[in-house]
Amino acid sequence: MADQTPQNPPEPCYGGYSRFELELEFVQSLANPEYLNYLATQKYFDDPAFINYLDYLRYWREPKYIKYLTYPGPTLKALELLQQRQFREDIKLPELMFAMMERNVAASFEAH
Amino acid sequence: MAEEVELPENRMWPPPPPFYKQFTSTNVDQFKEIKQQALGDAYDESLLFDSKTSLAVEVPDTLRGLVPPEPPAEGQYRVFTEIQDVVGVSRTLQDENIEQLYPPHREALAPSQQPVDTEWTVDRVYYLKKLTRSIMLNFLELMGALSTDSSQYFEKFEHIRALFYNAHSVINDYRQHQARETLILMMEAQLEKKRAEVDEIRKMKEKINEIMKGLEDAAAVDNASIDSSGASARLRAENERRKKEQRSMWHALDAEMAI
Repeated sequence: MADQTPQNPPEPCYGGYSRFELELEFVQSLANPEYLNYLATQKYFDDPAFINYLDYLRYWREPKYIKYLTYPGPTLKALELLQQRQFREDIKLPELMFAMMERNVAASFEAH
Repeated sequence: MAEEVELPENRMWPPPPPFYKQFTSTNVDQFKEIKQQALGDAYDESLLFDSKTSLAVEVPDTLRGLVPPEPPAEGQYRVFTEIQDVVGVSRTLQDENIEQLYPPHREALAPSQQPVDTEWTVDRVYYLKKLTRSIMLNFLELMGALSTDSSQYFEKFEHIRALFYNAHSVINDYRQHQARETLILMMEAQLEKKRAEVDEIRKMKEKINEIMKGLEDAAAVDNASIDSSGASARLRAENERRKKEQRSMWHALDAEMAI
């Protein structure tokens, strides 16, 4: 494992993955309304530390990082919505989750 | 390897990375202080988790987790089990060991190698159409091969693969052009929006002017009728009294709010 994925020595690894890779995956998962609903129902949004973490994740907006996002539009939009207390409350409702999923599908059809 | 992590089985989705646990308000406050000290007057709230300034300041090990990670400088990284090359390095046909089926750019060639072929054109669409037609033809041939001897599929399959790679390579030649066009469209949309806004403001201004004019006219008519009836002095005194009352009310309210 270790020789397949050489890492810079000061970069700590978590279960074989770098922090960059883990946060890249997590921030892109936020584009999925179902996942947001899951996080909300698991009460992650009640933890002030988690809210701070969401604020911290906004570093993905910077040009240095944004180029790694596969779908920067939906990912950053979700990240911005999560900064709002009201949205963090509302996404607990399945209705909003389904509405967002429908909108996403409709938007992907429009784009083609 | 990392130590065994026990995952509850009834989870539908993976939990978020555990890094968030370090973002307690005490840690964030300490981090903020360090950044404020380092940046001085240049600091503002939006720079709290800014990567460039965060990576530049010295932070104690306990707060290391609040600094964004550096993106990989070179090589590969993994995302959702797929291995990706670091952005900026786009794979060429040579990297994939695939023959280039369309002529190269004129600029890429030495003067002695310049194409004399009359078929040569700068228009990439021409080659793209040719490639698309070849793909369809090869698909038919693949179907033919499958219907007679299915073990012969591999050659045709490889042909189609090479054609697709070539088509993608031609499309990728257009990327810079696409980026420029997208930017132009976005700027035009912005301009359109601003123009519409200005128009709205103009319309609103005209509407307000009309209303004001209407009010002025009505006031002139009222004054004229009052003056003619000789009751203006009484009315003015009445108005004055009402205004005074309202003013004292406002003062009282202000005093109340100030507390």
